[in-house]
Amino acid sequence: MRTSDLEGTGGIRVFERLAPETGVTVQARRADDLYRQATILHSEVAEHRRDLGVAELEDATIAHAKTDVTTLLADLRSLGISWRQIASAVRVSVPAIQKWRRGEGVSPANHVALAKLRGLIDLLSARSIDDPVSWLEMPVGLDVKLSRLDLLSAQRTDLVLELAGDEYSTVSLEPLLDRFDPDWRSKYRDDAFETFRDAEGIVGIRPRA
Amino acid sequence: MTATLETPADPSDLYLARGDECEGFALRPAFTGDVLQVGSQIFQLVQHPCAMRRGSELVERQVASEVERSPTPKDWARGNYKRAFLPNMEGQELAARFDLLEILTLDQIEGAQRIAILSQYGVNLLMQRWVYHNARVIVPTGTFNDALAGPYEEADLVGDLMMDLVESGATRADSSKAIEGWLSENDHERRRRLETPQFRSTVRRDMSHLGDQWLSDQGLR
Repeated sequence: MRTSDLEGTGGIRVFERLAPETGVTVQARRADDLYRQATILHSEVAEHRRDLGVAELEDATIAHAKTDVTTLLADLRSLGISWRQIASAVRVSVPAIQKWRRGEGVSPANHVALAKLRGLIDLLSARSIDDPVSWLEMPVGLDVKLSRLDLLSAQRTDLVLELAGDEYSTVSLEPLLDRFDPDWRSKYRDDAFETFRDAEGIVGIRPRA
Repeated sequence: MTATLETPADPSDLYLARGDECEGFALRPAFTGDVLQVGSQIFQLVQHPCAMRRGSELVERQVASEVERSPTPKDWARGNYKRAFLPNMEGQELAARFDLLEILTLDQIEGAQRIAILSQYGVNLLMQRWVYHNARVIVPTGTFNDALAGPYEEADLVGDLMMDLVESGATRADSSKAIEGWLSENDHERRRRLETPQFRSTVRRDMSHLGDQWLSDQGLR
């Protein structure tokens, strides 16, 4: 494009913006470079964030491990978490939880596991999650039949921490789920059926439209 | 999602309680999947939780499958579609027979000894096999979970709160009436909230406060 073709049209000013001192190509290469640096930086910061999250959780666990099991259980319950969910997160049966509530023996490992669960809820609150238990119960994504609590029960606290405090949605869900289970698309999604509320107000199941 | 009948990775995943463990859930409402000793026979309740009830009351006649000894296959997707397996039941391998149905009365159910209560996953798997037996349609257990989570949560909460209230000196009848009244308020709003993951924790917290407040009002705390 020659400047003379644009004379009087205002195009000269546009052309000048398109052809600054460094040129389009150079700007594009500079943008590429910045993108690569930002990607590397994002990856390093994400890893650092993960490590700090684990360290923070360890500190919170140590703090809560000083509390006796009966009090920890009552505390967790008052936060709205169910006995089943506690049992699943700590990988014991609900009858075992019932025994602990009655003051029967708890192994040190299980005591720490309860403290870790309690500590995690503190961390989630600190990351501006208003109702951590509700947040844990909700599915990780639309049409994915997997909750954050399920990730916890599968001992993937690391993934839960990664999702927490992600109010800008920078965590890409699919790669995260790929790390959890490469077969998640076939195991945790149902493309054939959906739930709905019928005329009697009961939740039913029907084929997807 | 994979369109095959599912096999549990671990038999213990099917159960909330077995044998003596069921005593800790004595006040939990009867629910889909409950395994009952009725006299010398064993049955499993197989209807959808909402089909078992009219409102919150159990209907007078409940469909149940006879339970008998039966080896548990490695792959639950290949055949044996008339059975719902109950592996590792106090040292026995059992199965409910969908082709041997019985109608149990309320008296029989109330007089029965509950020898197993299924987990949420166990109920989902039972429903998957029951639906496949009756209609040759495979619905993933995850979808059953979405549909049945509300009633299962309600059974959990009612059982827990009933236990707390009765252990504090309340009668079963008064406790049951108080809990039912609370869940039914505002056109069953809290019951509906239990169907949504986002609101369940709120209902649980509120139910815990209900228990404390009610006991205080009754002069039991």
